[in-house]
Amino acid sequence: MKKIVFVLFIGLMAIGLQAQDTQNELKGTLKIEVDGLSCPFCAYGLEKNLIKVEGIETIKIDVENAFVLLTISEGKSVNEKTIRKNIKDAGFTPKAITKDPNE
Amino acid sequence: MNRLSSLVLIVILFVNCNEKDKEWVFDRKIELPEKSRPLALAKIGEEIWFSDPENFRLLKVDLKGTVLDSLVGIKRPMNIDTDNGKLYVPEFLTDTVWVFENGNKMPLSINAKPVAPAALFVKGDTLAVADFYKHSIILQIIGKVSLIGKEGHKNGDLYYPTDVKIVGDKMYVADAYNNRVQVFDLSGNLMQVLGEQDGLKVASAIDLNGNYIAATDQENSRVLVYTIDGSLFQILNININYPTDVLFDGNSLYISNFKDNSISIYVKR
Repeated sequence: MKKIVFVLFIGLMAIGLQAQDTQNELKGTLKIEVDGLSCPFCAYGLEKNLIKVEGIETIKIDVENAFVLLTISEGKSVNEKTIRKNIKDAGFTPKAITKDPNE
Repeated sequence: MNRLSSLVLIVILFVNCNEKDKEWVFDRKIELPEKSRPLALAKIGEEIWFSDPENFRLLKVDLKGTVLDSLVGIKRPMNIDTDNGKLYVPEFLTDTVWVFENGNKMPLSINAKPVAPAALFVKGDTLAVADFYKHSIILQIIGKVSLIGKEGHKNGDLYYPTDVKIVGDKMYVADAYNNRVQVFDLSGNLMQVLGEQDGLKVASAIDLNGNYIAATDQENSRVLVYTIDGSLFQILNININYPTDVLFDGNSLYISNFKDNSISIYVKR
């Protein structure tokens, strides 16, 4: 009985984690606020990191207002965790990720 | 006769000292075309090339700011250099260095591939590339490559280098995010550290003439001028807005104002 409960518990955990990942699949055009983006070397470095992510179609870096506009290819999605990791790898701390209001 | 010689000698010494002590003063601004963001400067004769990575191009202007020529479609051109009439352009997104000469464009052969070429220095058979993400300088002398610096914050380490210059047997590195300039010999031994006590915040570019070293203090919108022995000589802060490059030329010092569509010119007076 204990074994069955344990297996059920693990199964539910796995489903929960998967569901959480699915919830964070991002589509369309996104606005990402990033601190310290005013430096051009860093801003274009971030662009270098994000351009590698599969599913990202275009990247627009706004150095003046310190945000990135990402467009994800039609019919594709990118996991939020992947985006946040690539931003961190470029040496930045990502802040809010929101849908582009102009979309 | 002896007296006359002594007098002449004293006058020469006085003139020399006076020349060296003259300060840099703001002279004027070159206003650039609207929507430009000048990151780096290179001068050939009386014409200035500047990289404009935001708009994927380089523009050539005269000293009044009139556009004379352009090179477009370059994926984030960064800190450029000239040598022997050639224009060298590091393309940040593709990790390629392009050479432009007489309307032709060809990739520069480097015996070690940079990860993110932020700047380069070329003179004859000597080539140095500031590799932003490798936190090191690729130094190639007559085809032989060495890597100078590694990621870190101790003396001799580098943290996001963004410019490099070589004069004689010394290599000067803008150690941008360690907020300093480091001077190495060509074997990679650290010789001197500048700027650590002077409040530099992102030392993104450097240049040298015979007597001075200029370093941008990007985040504070200043340029710091040091004597060649490393003493702080002067702080420039008039009409400078987010400087990303400095360039000595004769009696003038050119400063790119990344956030002001302009180049400021200081002269010695």
